[in-house]
Amino acid sequence: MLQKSTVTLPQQTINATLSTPVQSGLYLSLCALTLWTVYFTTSPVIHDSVHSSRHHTLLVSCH
Amino acid sequence: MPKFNLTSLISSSGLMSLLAVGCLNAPAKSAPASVKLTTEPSLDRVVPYEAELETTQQPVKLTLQAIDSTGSPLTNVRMKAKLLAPAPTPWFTTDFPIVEGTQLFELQADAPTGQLQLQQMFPIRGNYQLQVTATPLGATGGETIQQNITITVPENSIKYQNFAILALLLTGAGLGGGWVIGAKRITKAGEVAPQPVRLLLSGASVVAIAALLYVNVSAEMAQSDMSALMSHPMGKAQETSTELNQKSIPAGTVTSQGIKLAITGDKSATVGKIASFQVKAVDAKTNKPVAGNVRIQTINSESEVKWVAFGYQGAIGSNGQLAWQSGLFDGSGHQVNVEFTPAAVGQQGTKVKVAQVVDVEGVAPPLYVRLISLGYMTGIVASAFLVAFWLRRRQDGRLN
Repeated sequence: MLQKSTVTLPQQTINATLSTPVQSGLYLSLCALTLWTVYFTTSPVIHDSVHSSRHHTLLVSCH
Repeated sequence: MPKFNLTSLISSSGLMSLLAVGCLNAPAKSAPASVKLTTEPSLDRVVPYEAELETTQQPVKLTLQAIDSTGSPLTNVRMKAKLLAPAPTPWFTTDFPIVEGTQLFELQADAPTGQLQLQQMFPIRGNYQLQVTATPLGATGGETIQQNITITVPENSIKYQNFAILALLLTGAGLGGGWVIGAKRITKAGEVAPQPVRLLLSGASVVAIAALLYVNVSAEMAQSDMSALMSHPMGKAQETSTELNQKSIPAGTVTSQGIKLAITGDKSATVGKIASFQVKAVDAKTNKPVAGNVRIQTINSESEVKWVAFGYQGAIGSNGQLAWQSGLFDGSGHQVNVEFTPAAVGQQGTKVKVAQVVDVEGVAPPLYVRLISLGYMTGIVASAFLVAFWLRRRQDGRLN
């Protein structure tokens, strides 16, 4: 007699969240967003605080 | 098969011999008239503008000398010089991408000694094109010289060093992340701890990503205020040089010592767009043009350490006027200082000064340029991540 396995929605969410592709994507997204904030954002506070680093790093355009 | 013609062969050989002798005896052609460029510092020591320096960086002094075919300086020449910035390189951007492919200055002046002296701060690395035209004036006249001079400016070496350090850090982040995430998950019955820990870490990441997204999207959405955001803040002015800190120079029109000196032109400019200026010197009583020399300096006056973006030193036109165009590449307040010295005998000690303040609006670099660079950096992280991930899985596979 076949038994149908019942995986609840919360468990499915946990499984998906903990899956390797999702974790890898989250990690790389976090790295990319951090890089954007430090080197590329136009937010004035951040621009002014890291202005020297931006001008002294290759591939970083400031203005 | 055609019959071999001995007569034709002899005739051809003789003709070729005559031509060879003629070429050897022909007088050497003299070099055409040209414009010679000398720079201070020398071209191999020219570097681009470096922001946030603690001391004043000097602009490059460009001296253009019109010479004739024998190498002697030409006199009484009308010279025109135009400097074009390097072409855009979005796949390998500079720190002033808005300036790429734009005009940095254009100026025409009469040069009694055939020499034009200019100063320019080179904003970025690359190949600049200096287009020069020299037209001999006077009765003898002469052909107009047109010349295109390429000035190659290398990148600041510090940028390569800093990027190497950044690349190492990104590689470390990628390797660390790949090693941790690549670990095989051994699900044990009843084990609860690892799951909540990972959920917590993932949750924290999601919150951080959401916060960063909000900050960055808000900044991009506020594009109407982008010009103000990309301009430099008004830092505390420092007395780096008396010459560059001349706040006492009057603006607009000045009448002094019998000379009326006026500066007109743009009072606001935008990075990447050319600004035009004119200066006029007339006799204060007769309103007739006054011949003489001008010294022009466009100074970045709002930065903490002031520096000269553009300069010219030489004769003003016979009509007492000089016009020039300048591309100001830094979003900050600038001041154009003009000092005029009449050429008339007995008046050479007279100096009249006038200034004009120019507000330069900064422009944010294009989004696609920034995304390209972000792509390179993220690519370094992703590559290291994949390597570490693969190594970890391989190691875990061997252990099992």
